Amino acid sequence: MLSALIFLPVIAAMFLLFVPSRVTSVFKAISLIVAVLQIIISILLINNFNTQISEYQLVERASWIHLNLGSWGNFNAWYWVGLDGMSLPLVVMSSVVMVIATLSAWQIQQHVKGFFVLLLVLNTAIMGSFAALDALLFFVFFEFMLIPMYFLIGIWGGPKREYASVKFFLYTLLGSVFILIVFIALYASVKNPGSKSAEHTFAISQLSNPDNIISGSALDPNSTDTFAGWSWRTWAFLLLFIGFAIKLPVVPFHTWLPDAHVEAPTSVSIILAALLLKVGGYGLIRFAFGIFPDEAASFSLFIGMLALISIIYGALNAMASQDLKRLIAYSSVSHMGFVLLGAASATIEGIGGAVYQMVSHGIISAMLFTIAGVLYDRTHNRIISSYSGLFSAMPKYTALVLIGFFAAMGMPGFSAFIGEVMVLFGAFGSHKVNGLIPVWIPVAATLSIILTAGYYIWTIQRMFFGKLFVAGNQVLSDLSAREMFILIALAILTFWLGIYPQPLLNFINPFATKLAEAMAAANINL
Amino acid sequence: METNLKLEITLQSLGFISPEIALSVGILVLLITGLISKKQSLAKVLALLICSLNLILLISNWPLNQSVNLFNGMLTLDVLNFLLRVTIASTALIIVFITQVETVHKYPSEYFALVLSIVLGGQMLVMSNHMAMVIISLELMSIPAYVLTGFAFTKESAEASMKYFIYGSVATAFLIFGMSWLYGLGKGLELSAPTFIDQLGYNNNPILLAACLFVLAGLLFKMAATPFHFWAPDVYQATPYTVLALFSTIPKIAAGALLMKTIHWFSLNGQSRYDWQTIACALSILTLAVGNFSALWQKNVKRLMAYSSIGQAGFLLAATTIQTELGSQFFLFYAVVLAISTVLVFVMLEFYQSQFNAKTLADFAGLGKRNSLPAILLTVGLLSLTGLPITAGFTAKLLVFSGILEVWQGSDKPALLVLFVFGLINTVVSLYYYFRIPYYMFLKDNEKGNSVPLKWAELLIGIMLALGLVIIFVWPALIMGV
Repeated sequence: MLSALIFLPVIAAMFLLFVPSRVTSVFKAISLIVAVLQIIISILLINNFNTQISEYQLVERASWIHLNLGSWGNFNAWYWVGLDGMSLPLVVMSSVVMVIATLSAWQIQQHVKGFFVLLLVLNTAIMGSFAALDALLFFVFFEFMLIPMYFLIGIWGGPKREYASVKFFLYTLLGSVFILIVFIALYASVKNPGSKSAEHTFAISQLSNPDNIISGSALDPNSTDTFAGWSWRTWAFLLLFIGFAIKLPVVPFHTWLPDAHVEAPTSVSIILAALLLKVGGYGLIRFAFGIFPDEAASFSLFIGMLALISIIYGALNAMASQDLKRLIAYSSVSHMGFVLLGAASATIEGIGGAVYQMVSHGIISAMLFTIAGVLYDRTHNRIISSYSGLFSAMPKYTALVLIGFFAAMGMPGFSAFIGEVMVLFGAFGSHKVNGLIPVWIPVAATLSIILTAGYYIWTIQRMFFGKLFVAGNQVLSDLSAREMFILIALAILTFWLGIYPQPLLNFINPFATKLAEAMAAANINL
Repeated sequence: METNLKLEITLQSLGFISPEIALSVGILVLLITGLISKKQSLAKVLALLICSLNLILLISNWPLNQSVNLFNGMLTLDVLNFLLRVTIASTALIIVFITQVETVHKYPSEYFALVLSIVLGGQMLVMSNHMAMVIISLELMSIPAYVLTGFAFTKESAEASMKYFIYGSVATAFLIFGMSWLYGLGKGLELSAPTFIDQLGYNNNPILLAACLFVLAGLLFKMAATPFHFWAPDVYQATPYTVLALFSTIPKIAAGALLMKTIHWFSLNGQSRYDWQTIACALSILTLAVGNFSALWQKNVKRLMAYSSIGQAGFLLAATTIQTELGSQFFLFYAVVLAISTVLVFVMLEFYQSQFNAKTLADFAGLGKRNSLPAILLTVGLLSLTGLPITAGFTAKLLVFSGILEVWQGSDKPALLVLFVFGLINTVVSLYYYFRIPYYMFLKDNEKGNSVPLKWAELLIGIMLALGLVIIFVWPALIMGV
């Protein structure tokens, strides 16, 4: 069932390749049908998921690379997918966002066939990265994501699309090379406990179990080898951290993001903010923290400070942005800082909050980029100072913008509130529970929420209140039915997750507890 | 009695090299036909027949139970070089198949005879076990290559051919010079012989190092590896793509395979004073750096592909550093994938050159938007050369670099770790220049020109090779671990 969810889009894409490119409605219709089917499959997945256990569930496994290498045993990588309390909510959120992104792409005029085929391929890659339980399989999906993304930004993007897409591609590929270096090193250092000879493995569940590490290998925790003062395990953790921090993104590895966001078409921006950044957060928690809990714990102060810098620097940049989309892009940097802070705190609330914040930001960022897209579709102008008093021209739009902005700034009653409050609880609690994060970091993070409220409210005031003014004196129509549907659906979701968080928390809790315990155990060992 | 035994060995050995005999006879037949008829299609059909016969005879020798010494140790035959010969023979068949006869002027049979000589040289080289055979096979590959470079009979191609020839002769001179010293020091020319190890083990003579390096020089030249790569950009620029597909696969793979074997010999079962694994790492790092970083600034596609092929030689060299039985399997895997991707890319580039006169990167502007299929096929080939999923190029790089890390863990030689990290980071560098072509094809706009479909042969080969790359990615056991 999970495989159906992953591969349905790519199968549809192959079918679409043979459809003549004139009949543009077919591409839109099929993409939408696929996305809706994925939501149905997601609901079935939720039904079959047992929230009581923290193990991987709904597992599907098949042999993929199985090479007999004589004296070196076998080279094994599995097609191995399954979900746990972190990946299931992200997969479900992805299928929702995919419907939204498909609907937002309705107005694409040029090369419709190519756009939707690439969108479907990207869909498979994203679902696959969340579901993969074999590190190599994850890497393949993770890296393959770049190729459709490159073309989606590069062909359908804005005026500086060429620069933005190349920068995005090179930056994230550099990150994924760091990740690949660590995965190969892990593969060489970890053996499969069930096998007769020393058979290596890429399985995530085996990689994170310290008993499986071959003694004397480079990543052996007892190894005394060092390079520039740090053990190989520390280096491996740092490489993984940087690799995923580029994707998340964490300041100072974020510079690709504003460019990519500003140039990408609306639906691609939605996917970029709502899903690709989450793949970074997911990878950070699953691999960097999950496989190297000791190193994560010992670097938690440093990571917490980076998170705080991301939160504040993102907010300040958002405040200074002239371009609405750039503002939202920097706000993503700021919001993703909370994910990092929650993970660094290594407490149950913190990790749970990080996952909650990822799901919540997926929905809210989809809403925010739709908001930017609505305006851009009408005027091809995103400069904030080109507008004022939009309330009188577009009342429905203004109402939904208010909901979106309030949700994003973390007002009680919306999902971001739950996520951020949990993260802050975790971070405050950390200094008592495990002593990893000093109190001043969450204090500063809490104060920075004022900055967040500041730039959103200031934007509302500048663009929507006052006397009606639109640069170029264009007449603006209010939301179409399609835009209404997108925004209202997302608003309901964030509202629902904001007032009734328990169902989602039931999924996340076992996972957060397990990871927090692993990191606590590691912390005692230090 | 003595003579009888030798005769018997020779006769027995002949059966094993029946494909090469077929090739040699075929070359002669082609040349004789050329005297009678100048018909282009006849020469091509004949060449196709010879290539197919070569491949069929090769495969009929399978399965191979153990390695065999042929002609008193002049050649050896084992599974690795058998599979390398199959790779070379199949590549040759595809290249002859897609050769457009209009490009071979009025000397069609001579052209194909030259191509087949390179194939013959490559197949002999991978089997060579004796320094005399190495020289003969290398020259059998080199001299036709000099001629093929100048085959367009233009001023440009004559100049490139001359450059190639001069560099090549110097490299060969180095090789022979080194061998003569090795002969003096090692009392023999058969490199795998035990006497060689007895003579040279723990030998402190610095001349030994120089001699070995001289021998490597000849092989590095054929691989277009640094520091003997200077001929490549000029030669590539003056040569048609079909010939380039040949140049950047068969000699590179054959010389690389021999270099792997030679380095293994030089290390004398670990009794050498010099660390040949580290030397191979250094050569690989140097080649990767020169190839990939120089390619960044290229605007002419052929020059870009020349540096790309230098970079690929660096990755092949990286595979030679593993120095175990497994290393040779990884080398083979890399070589097969390299051959498929290179031929795919060059077939598509040839299409763009002949139909759109696309010579520089800027000439590719907007071509992918009107004519998607060839552009997609070209992109798949470039993705595979870069080493991104979902192409076999990813699997090939993964295997090579996981092998290097494994060897590093066993030996703790820092050079291996440097190569591991530097090599992987080089894939990012190579992405930049490989993706210049899709970048222009898909991201840039160009309104003029119209859509031209692929010829059926190009379409067939293109789709076959591109699908092959994806299938090998999904199911790598197809060409490995048999």
